[in-house]
Amino acid sequence: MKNSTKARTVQVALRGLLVVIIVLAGTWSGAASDFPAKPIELIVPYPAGGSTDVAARTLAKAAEQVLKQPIVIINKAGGGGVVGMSSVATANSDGYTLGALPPAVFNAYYMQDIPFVPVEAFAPVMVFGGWSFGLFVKSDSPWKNLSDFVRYAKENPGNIKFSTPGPGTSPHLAIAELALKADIKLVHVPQKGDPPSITALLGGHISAASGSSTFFPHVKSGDLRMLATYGDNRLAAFPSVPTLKESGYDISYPSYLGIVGPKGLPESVVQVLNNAFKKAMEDQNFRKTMETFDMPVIYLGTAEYKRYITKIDKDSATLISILGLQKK
Amino acid sequence: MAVQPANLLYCFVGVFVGTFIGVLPGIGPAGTMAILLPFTYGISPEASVIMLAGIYYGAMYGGSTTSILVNIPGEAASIVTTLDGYQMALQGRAGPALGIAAFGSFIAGTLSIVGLQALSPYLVSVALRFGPAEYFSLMILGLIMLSYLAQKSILKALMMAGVGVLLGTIGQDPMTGGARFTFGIPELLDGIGIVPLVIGIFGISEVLMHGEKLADQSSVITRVSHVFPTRRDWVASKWAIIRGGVIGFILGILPGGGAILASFVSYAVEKRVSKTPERFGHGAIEGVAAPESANNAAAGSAFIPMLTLGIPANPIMAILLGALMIHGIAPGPLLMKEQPNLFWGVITSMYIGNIMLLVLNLPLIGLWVKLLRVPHTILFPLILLFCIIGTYAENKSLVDVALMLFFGGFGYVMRKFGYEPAPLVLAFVMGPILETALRQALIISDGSFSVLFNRPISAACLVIAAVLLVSSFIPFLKRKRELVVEEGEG
Repeated sequence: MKNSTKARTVQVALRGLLVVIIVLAGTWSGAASDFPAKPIELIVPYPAGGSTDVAARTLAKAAEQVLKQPIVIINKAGGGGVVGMSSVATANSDGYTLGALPPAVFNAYYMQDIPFVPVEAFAPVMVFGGWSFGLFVKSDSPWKNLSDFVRYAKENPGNIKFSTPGPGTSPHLAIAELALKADIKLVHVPQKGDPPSITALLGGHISAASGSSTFFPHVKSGDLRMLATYGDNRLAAFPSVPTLKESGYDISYPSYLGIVGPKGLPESVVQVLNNAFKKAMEDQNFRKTMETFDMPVIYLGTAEYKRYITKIDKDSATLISILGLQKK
Repeated sequence: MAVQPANLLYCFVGVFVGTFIGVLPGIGPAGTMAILLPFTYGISPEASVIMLAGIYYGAMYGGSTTSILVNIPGEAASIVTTLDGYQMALQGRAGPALGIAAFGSFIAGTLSIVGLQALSPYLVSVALRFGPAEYFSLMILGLIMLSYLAQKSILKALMMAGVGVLLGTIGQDPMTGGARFTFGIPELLDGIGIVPLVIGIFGISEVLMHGEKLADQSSVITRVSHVFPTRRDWVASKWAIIRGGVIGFILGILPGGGAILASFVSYAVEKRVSKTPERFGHGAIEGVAAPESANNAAAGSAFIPMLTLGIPANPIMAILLGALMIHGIAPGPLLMKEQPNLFWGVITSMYIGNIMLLVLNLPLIGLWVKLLRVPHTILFPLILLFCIIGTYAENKSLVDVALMLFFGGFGYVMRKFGYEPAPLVLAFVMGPILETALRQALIISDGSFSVLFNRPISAACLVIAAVLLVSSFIPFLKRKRELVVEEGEG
């Protein structure tokens, strides 16, 4: 009896000690002055091996040199980026858990029930790159440029069947906005990702497709033609293809990939991370990786990234409700 | 290309692991590939497919070893091999039985790769003409065929296909992006993963089945000599190997056909054409040569619809499809043109892999025999552990682990009541393709169903599907079908 009481006292004391150690360790590693004092986790919300993963991986590799701490990539795929980003949203805002934020998450918020509010949940650090989108037709198509395309659509409402990588994806929202602003009626044939969209276009089952750089090799080979690109600037690889803005429509759909942390990240930590990742963007390996995936290297600082997040959130809300894709 | 040292290594790892799990009971190639999938993320897509494919056809070799030596099929496609293989072993002819299984596998496997290489470019040129209507009708034909080819009841297979299609509807609606049956769980937005489903149904439930009645391991025949078949053995089995190869090649292409069915059918055919059918079941070497050749040929030809149309003919191909998707490669008509290194690299690796297997299986047979002595009380818990690790490793998701365990229990009950797992898994993969294709076809045709009948390929598929379905309910034909299946089962 006496023995067991004694054992319990020792147990309680040990537990107390453990709590003290944990709390101390927490405050110590939480001190921003010597950030980072331990390895950082970067959550990539897509499977390993894809373009987002490889781009984030090579960038993190270079940033490790600056931060003098390892950056561990954790792939948490699912729900078009929602699953991985929800664990970033709920992590401690000490800078040791970061995420690579894809813009698709903003669309998902308006289309499904997701466990966080993207526009509020994250502290932006910086943008390091993006995706390029465009409108494609077969090279034997009668439409040589965007105005041919729009003219035909005006004369034959509902006759053009086009595909996108899926409902509510950026290439879908962009062309939906075009249809709205040009006042034309197009019929949407959603696909699962870009590759089936390319096959359907080449096979003549649809007459146009809105998609990402996955299409580029087929434009280079001469099988497809790009009528317009959706960013603010022309693409380096296709200098002759105009932007939507140049074609007379006030639509800009840059799609940026950036590093974020959970909201409430200390200012000093954001500063350290921003410096490190910015420096990492000069890495030759990173540049080469981005080139392989036809992803432009773009830098946006913390403030600009915040503005972009606010804008894309607003745009997504408007377009998704116009398209009738909002959650019921 | 395939002869790079790294790819040769992955090829070797694949066929080695394949033989290994082929020999071990309790886990087959589908479960193993699903478990290993997360570990292929870091390597090139080419290497990952080379390795995973190696596991598949490697298991076909390994599966025969246990069938012959212990009377337990290490792999479902080697069930028929037990009939004559074990009898041969009891008569002291385990060596020639293993030898003819390995050589037959090698010859038929190689012939099948030649067929794959010859047929694929032709199919690719036709495949671009496949629009949504064609894909829909082909999927319908596939679902009907996989039920028709089921080993047991057609009705049960159709029911499993129905469950599979329903499971496939979980996740985002392909046309509107809205969530279906996700119950607010974000992990389900992409639908149920193929990995937890396959590991549960092919991994966990198989271990449970085997664990029910632990096999007596003392009966293992460990003395194996003269693995090279004699001239008489060759004369007896040469046509069996060729016929088995052709049957395997054809059935491997068909959805739901695959290696298991090919082994049954080729055994039944050999028994029928034999002048001495009474020898079957008492150690006839043709009874080993035919099914082993057939299952390897089927393993090769199953790649054709996957690589050219992006349609998996069996659950294994569904996993390979998943492996390619992870690397951002969508198999389809453009694969051969866009990824020639991948396409031809995989094919070259299969030639090399078959040679490796011959070397692994004949001189090293003693090693595999030793493996059979690992106590099942140690082996089965280990497999369960790997099932859990493999599932978690894919997405670091406990939801996936829970799903996997659920499907493990579900699969066990299914098997107990005589429902086959393959139709469910295949329908699960085909269901979303079917739904997307139908809705796309209807959007393109402005809502008119005639698009499914106006296009010749689509109409032909639907007619064949209807004929199959009707014929399976006509008593006379039904009896015939059951006869073939029963005969195969011995």
